Amino acid sequence: MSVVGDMFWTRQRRLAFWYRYTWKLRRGAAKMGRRLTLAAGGGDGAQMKGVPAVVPYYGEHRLLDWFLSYYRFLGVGHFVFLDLGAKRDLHEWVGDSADCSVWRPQGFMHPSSTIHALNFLRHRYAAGKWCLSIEPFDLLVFPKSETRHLRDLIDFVESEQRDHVAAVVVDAYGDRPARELAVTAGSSPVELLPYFDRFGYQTMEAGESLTVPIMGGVQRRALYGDEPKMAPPLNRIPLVKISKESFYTASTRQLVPHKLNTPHSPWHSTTTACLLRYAMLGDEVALHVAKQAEGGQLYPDQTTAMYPGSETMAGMTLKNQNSGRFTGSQDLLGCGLINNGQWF
Amino acid sequence: MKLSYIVLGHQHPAILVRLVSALVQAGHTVALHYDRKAPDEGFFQVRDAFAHHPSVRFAKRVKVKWGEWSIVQATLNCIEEIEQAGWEPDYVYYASGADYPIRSSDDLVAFLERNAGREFIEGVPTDKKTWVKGGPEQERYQYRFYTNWRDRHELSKKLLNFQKALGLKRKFVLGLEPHMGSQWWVLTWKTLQRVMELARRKDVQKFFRTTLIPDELFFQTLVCNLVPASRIVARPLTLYQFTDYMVPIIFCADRVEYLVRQPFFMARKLSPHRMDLYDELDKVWLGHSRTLSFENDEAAKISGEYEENRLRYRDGAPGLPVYGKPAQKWYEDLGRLDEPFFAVMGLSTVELKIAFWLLSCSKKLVCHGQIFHPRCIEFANLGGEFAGYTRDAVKLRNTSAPNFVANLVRASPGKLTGFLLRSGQGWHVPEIVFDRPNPRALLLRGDPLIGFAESLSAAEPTLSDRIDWNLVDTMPPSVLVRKWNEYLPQFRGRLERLDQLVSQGIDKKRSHNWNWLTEVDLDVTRPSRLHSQNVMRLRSDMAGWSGMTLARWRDWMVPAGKNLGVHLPNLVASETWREITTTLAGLETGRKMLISALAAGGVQVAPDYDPPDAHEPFSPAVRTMKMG
Repeated sequence: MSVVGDMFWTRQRRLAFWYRYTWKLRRGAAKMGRRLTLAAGGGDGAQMKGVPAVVPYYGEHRLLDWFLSYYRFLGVGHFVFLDLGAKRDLHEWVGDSADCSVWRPQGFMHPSSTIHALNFLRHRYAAGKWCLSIEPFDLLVFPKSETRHLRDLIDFVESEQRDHVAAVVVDAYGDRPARELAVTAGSSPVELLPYFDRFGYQTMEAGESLTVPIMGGVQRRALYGDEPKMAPPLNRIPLVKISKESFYTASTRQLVPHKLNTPHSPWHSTTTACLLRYAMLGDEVALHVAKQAEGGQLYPDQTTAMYPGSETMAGMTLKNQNSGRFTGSQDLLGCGLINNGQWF
Repeated sequence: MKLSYIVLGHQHPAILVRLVSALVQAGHTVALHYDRKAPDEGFFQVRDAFAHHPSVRFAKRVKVKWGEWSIVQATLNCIEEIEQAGWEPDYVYYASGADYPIRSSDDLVAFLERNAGREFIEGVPTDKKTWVKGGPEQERYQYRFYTNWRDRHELSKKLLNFQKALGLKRKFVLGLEPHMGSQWWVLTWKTLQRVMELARRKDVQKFFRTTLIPDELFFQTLVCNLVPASRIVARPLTLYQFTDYMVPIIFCADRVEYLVRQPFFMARKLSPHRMDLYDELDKVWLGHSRTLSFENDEAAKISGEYEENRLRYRDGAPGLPVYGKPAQKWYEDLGRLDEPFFAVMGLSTVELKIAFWLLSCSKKLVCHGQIFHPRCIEFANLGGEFAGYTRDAVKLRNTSAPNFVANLVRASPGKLTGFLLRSGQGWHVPEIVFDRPNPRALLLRGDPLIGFAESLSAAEPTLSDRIDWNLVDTMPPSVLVRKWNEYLPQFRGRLERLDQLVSQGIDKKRSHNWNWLTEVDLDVTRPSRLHSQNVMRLRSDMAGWSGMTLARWRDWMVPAGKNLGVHLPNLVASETWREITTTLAGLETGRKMLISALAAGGVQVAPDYDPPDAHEPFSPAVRTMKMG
């Protein structure tokens, strides 16, 4: 067969694989949906205004208030938690907040099912809507997020005919090991871990599924100096307009359809965000749960997970000359971790 | 001056209420149309807020669809409401629910009084000029459109092409000259009444009902045909600007300062999600906070600020990396770096070390060592860590050499960063140095004898390694000669490669008028071949190698400093200079030893050429040649 013919059939096979895989995800979501129970809050988001956020919850209650208040200010109207914590007691902590729904698995759930459960929740609460998919340790920062609403970002991105916003995960750290810091229910992680790496990130070539891996950051320099290629990828797609066909396939890093994985157009750069990660403040149990849940979501590309690294780095002093202090979105804009695009 | 507003709203009823109350509060009257397509709750909210208000009237609701007659019908309904209310205003301001005033009401009234009788409406005669940026223009009224252009795009296009094929072109109604322009206008009530007379005619309505996007055609055509051109100001008083995707931009709360600077009276669209913006603009509208005044001629003229921003950020912030955008060029993030940096390129570490010592003395420079050494990274002042890389982070550096350089340069802002680049190191970084506009090159064409002696001791010496001259003594002359004969072609080959890069660089950087290249030739075994503006030529008639080079190094500091834009201090008395002197003296001794050892093997290494200016007395050896 000719080379062109070969390429054609290879492509057909790959397309067929992804088509089958989409059906697998659809079935997985439906199956996991039957195995989840609603523990608190509304069973669907029909009455809710604002952007829904679907969050896997690992049982770190000390950061919950900070998390909720930050995202409420940003414009999240409805939090949908999948309670994976060791005690599964989030519904008691959320209390009677009208904007929180808590789901938990019935009995044991294999970590590899987490992604299906989350996909189910995304489709249940955010079908046809923009949906934020973040971790409970993450702080979403986009250009001028101090004064602008999440909906403003969505309006702009929609005006550029895009259905998703890309982000980079950036680990935050302090000038002392995070394990030595006292975290209480009222403390602000931004003050405890004020530093981040300004440079030292690298955009890799786009893969088959159009995902553009971004490598680098603290984990690569602190833990993967000997094998930098094994460092965890930092690219995420946290904000997506969920359609019937869209499913996350690996953590919040990769989706089908694949067009949702491209952060920018080749001729045009667009607005991106940054996820400042405060996982080093998490307690041992929560990080263990997070590691398991993340480990189950890495299929199909088998990349390195981030939470094991966070746990290791909690005992390390990470500040160096490259560290920048986070005071607002302009710090991240100033080193290119957030791209403003043409948003005026 | 009596002023009425026509407001077309279809969403965000709370903000619509806010807008209408602001307008009414300033003493104006409002005719409001609320889209029948939008949920009724929104309409009821607005209606209840102004239930029996004498200054607010609600027009008959129609289902407004983009690009169709309905939007003109909604406007006409509003005009009829104004007529029925008997307000008899002097001017009518046409706005949408997404607009908001950005100047005080008094300013607007004063402006309209100054320009009484003028019509503020954009009208471009489309038979003579092009106004539309894409899609059909004259076809909008020459053919009939029965389907929505956006909703049923393919069908609409097919129907248009079908009519074109059959030649069903029609004449403009009443023989009017077609004009197009922005939908937003401010017109006198007298003109609007005359427009209404025409608008009530059945043939006019029938014609415009089947045009495409009549809101950009109907009022514009009628007004431009009814009113003499001298009375028309072809600029709308509402500020609106577009993105690359031809969508109006939405101003957020942090843009208040920008908005109140603009010579317009209203702006569209404003973000409905944070109320701070509206609070600020309310103060402006009621005259509580002052805005920048403008001349009458400057009214409604758009500043270039937004356009500049739009073009500047199209491909990401200038000078900063755009993560997630796969590299278009092989130089990755270094391709986006605007800051200047320099590379000192040479063939032996010892010679580079002398340049390193000299350049490290300047406080405005950050001169790193051999950052592409295969075993370690030598940072400035030989420190153990820099920009997040440790001395041993060789593998991390090797993941991307261009990104590594970009990170080093960005890590010392305000200072000129540079590094040593020994021939053979740094993969394609030498090519980048001559390819990109921002890097500057300091080229040391080395002495082959020194390079040879160095290669005998170690393959890739670090800055702290020293040449082991004992090897020259202990090695049998025949072996030495064989190694020399192997080494010399390699050396010449590297030099040729450098020459090639330099000539490429000269071609690429021809447009630069600053000195980006400084060269020195330390090779006395052949005529020097130097290309650059700042040439330092070695003179073979000078006696003694090291003394001569010491002087040359001193002279080299002048053009090198000029190249890097710093004043390299006179170092003759300094600690560094003594160190350099000692090193050069050691080198000279060793070099003499090597020459005699090679001579013992039958190889004569001596100056074998007659320099063209040998007869001249010693003159400043630094020359500046102008290029291009």
